Amino acid sequence: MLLPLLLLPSLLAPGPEEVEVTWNGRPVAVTELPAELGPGPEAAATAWARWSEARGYRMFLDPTGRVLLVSSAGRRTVDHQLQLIEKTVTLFDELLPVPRDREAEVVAAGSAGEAGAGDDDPDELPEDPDGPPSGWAPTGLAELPWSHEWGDDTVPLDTETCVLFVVNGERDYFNLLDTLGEKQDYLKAWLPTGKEYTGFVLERPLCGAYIEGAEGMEEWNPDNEVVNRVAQMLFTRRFSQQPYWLVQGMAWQLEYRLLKGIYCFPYRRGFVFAVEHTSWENDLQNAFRTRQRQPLSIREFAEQRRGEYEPMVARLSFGILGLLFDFHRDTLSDFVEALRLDRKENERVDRGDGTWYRSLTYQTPLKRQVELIEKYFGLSFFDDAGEYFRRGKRYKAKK
Amino acid sequence: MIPILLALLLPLPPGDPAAFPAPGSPGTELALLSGDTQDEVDLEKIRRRAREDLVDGLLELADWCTKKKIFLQRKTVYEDILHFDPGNSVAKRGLGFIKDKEGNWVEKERRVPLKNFDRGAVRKFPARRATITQGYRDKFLSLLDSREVRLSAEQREEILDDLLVVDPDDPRVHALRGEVQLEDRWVLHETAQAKKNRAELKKTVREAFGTATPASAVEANAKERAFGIEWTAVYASPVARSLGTGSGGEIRRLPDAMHAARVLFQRALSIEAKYPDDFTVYTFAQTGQVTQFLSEHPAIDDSYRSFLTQLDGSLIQGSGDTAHWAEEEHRRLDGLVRQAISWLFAQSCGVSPDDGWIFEGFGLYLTRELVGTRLTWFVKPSEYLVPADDQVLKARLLDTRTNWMAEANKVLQGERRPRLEFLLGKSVNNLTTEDLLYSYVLAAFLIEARPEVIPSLLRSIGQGTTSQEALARALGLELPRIDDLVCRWLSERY
Repeated sequence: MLLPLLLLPSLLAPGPEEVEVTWNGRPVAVTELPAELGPGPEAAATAWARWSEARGYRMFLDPTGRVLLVSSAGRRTVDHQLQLIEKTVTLFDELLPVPRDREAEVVAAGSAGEAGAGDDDPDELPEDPDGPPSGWAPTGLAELPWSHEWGDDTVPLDTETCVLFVVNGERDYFNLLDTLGEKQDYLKAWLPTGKEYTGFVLERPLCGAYIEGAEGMEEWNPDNEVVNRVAQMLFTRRFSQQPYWLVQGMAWQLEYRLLKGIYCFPYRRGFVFAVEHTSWENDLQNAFRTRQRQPLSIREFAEQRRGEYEPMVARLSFGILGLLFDFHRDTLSDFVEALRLDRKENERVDRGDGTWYRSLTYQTPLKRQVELIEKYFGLSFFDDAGEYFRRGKRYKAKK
Repeated sequence: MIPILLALLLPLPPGDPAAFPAPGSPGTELALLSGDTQDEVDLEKIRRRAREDLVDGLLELADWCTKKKIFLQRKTVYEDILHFDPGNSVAKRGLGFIKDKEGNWVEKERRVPLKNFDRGAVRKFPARRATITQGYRDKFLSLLDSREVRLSAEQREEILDDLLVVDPDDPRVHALRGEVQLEDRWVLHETAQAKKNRAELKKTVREAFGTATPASAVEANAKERAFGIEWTAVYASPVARSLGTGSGGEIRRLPDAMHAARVLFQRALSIEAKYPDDFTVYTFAQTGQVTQFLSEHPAIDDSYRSFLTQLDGSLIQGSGDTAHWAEEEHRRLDGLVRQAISWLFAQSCGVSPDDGWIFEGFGLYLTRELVGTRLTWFVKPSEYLVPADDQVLKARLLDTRTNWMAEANKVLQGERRPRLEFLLGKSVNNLTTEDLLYSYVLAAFLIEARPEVIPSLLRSIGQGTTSQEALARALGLELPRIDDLVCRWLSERY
């Protein structure tokens, strides 16, 4: 009778003070992390501490507190992966900074506070000087369904810590998926599908994984898995749910810019030619050279849904993001923010009694996407895109 | 309105001033409200003479500084003189003021920056200054201790302010002001206390969830089957039964939340409380099922049903049931935890929605600690803001990202702000958004900084004492002083 009682404490989720991560090369209790990292690292590490410990994984936090790497690999591999994560975070910030309107809101709120309160800035007052509430919400990763909309309810934008699992073999991978299913009811129906692939990125909770050394994997590169999946998570963290072409095009561009090739093909089945990893720009050039002057249509790339992989659609998404990163970087974040706000406003379904609920299947209509593209990148954007694909590196933006 | 004013005018119990501890502790201010007129006159004479003596001493000290050419030190002496004698012309001139044609003091531009030229004299300066100020300090500290002179709270505060000019780091004076030293600053005792208590509170919440006995799947009983609703699952724990038509996970977890709510309630408020023996939580994901539930529930008649259909959820009076049917799961969780806390208040100490500040303030504070949200509240349009600003404030507060403490600080520093004496007399139906914020801060203050007064305070209110009277007695302060104390505590919260 005594044994079950003795085992009981180990079955309970550990408190944050018992959870340790490696941060800047040294082990740190998550409760001791600097306050400026926000509540994300503590919540994420606490939620996954028991799973990690039980299966021999350790947790590593990137210097900014935005990504938690859960890995069982050796020191050198982990150091390399952390370097890749840092590079991804840096490039992501460079290409997709916080939108100006959102920054302005923060500044305006600060100014208003100062104006209303004399010398004291009320915004300086901490709501939770000793960390967020310790009940279900902060450790919601372990216990509660998360908000459907980042930045709206329980997960403020740009605060959550992304969790990347580098999983050692299929057994741990399946166990991870089953654990996620236990934590999140909404994932249960997806689990059989999830087990057919060798990696995933989830928006709720914000985590991603890939299997190191899964059977039958050729033309595969773990570095690309790290960059692509971390990029997707960072994007969701900052901009909430977005059209799939935008998310995946962005992730492929980061792969390509950091690692000079594309190796991560979510939802792709079948053989991958070795030459494909670096041929996408040429493929686009060839396709558009023979196409003559027929302008690009948004339907050609934006109708792709999560769970699908079409080679030409993938290349177009990649190419469009290339054009945006190269020639429209100054307005790109504002465009993505506009898409987020459009979704936030229009995904609500009015019940007719003054209340509403959110449609989880909402997609910003293509017509609206075109309007926003033309607003932020110019009326000739789709013509420009065709020209950009056709001319490749020789393309010059119109003045 | 009349009952509130009457309550404010009620005489407070007499007491011996010397028997009361420092401000900020129970029992200090009540006895010092109104000294007799003769004492006040005498006190003013004492203060005037002491100030004159002190200023004379400080002027001598300034002369000494001039002789020794320690001009930075002399500047501080002149500034001190002006605190005690604002029109002192020597100090004014010494600080670089001149009189214009109309006889007003104006500051002239200083061409040469002040310097000290004698390091030895600088070292001797503190001791020399202390010799001059010691007499003043001793005189007023003994006056504060005196049983002979009765001081009002304002007089006492003025004396303590003067003593801090004499020595800004005088530990005895700070202790009399209810302050403790925190690194390089002096803060309220309550500020430091809250820091410690918050850590305990968080630990309590973690333990509360960690020690919940997991609910087991069970069969619906006869009453539950009689609703004719197809339940997704039925779970039971020693604390509550849980049925619903949403996800199985939601239904299974709710008894844990009910358990944690009771544990936190009991520990944070030091009040024993329990749920009804047949406590049952119902959750509905679809509207049609709610209609059926309300129609078939034996404790709900037609008029009660028509009231309930306007809500998203409610305790069901006359039963041990509570139900919620908001569209989203986290709103149902938030609402059910609020309802559970309301039940515990009513059952344990008789606090009801009529005690709006408690019902909303404590309810919201405890709910957020448990589930991280503050989505269930009752307010009427603002009395202080124009409608558009009121809507903006409400929308901001419903956003989980919003820092309520910072918002409350803004509201409480504004000119048109809630008056504590009126807030304490309102039911939930009469609270405005600003009242709600103040109630939240007041609950935070009591839970974090003064938890020892909560049981008697709430029981007293539950037994019919007005909140104004009960709070003043519990904290030993008049309401305006409580208002000052809470606002200062809020601004110092770290």
